[in-house]
Amino acid sequence: MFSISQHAIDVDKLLTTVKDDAAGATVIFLGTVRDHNDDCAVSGIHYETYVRMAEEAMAKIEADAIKIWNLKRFAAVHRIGDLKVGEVSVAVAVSSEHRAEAFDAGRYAIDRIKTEVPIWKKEVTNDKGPMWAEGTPLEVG
Amino acid sequence: MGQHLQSITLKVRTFAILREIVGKGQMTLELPRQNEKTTVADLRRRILELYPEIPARKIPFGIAVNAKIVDDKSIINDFDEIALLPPISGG
Repeated sequence: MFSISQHAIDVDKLLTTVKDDAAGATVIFLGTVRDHNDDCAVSGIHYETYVRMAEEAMAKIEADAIKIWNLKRFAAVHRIGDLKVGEVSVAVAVSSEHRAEAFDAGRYAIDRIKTEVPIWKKEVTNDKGPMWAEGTPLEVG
Repeated sequence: MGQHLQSITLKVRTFAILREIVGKGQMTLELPRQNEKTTVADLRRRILELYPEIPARKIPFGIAVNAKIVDDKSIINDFDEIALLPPISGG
């Protein structure tokens, strides 16, 4: 299950979504807005997305993660809009029988989200003004 | 089929830095019809002509047709949903 949210990500709700009696391990990854990037002070980040394509890209990542690690459940949320330092921008939760698969699947999913899901961030810096982050070109296919 | 002759009409969406350069998140663009084979390369050329700031600032971008990233040889058709996508930076 994947969603894009304009409101604060509810981490407890995400954990409930991946709850499964057959799972012995649950891993959650939270990406948060950091107060600096390289040497620049950052006071917040604006995120935007292409919803239609983001949902399709996430469905693929979810299906692959479930298949490769035999996950019980998978849930992810990406926030859009204007976020302050410390707020959660992305969350990935997975559950599996054992911990190794859950850790690996969580890492796999967030790594693919960062290179395959069309989301852009603009950092609000005090020194240089708002700046779009350098990113990863999307691949054909 | 009256409109099939001179040009094709595309709905083009733009994001992030490209949206700022273009000045809007969505526009309608007409491209000359090339013997039924207007390609993504034709569209890319037109975008670069219309918005010289994009090549001047060397901003790379992918083009999605109906929400799939395609290469420049791909053919585009009337009323396809096009999206201009700069490098992504989610997370």
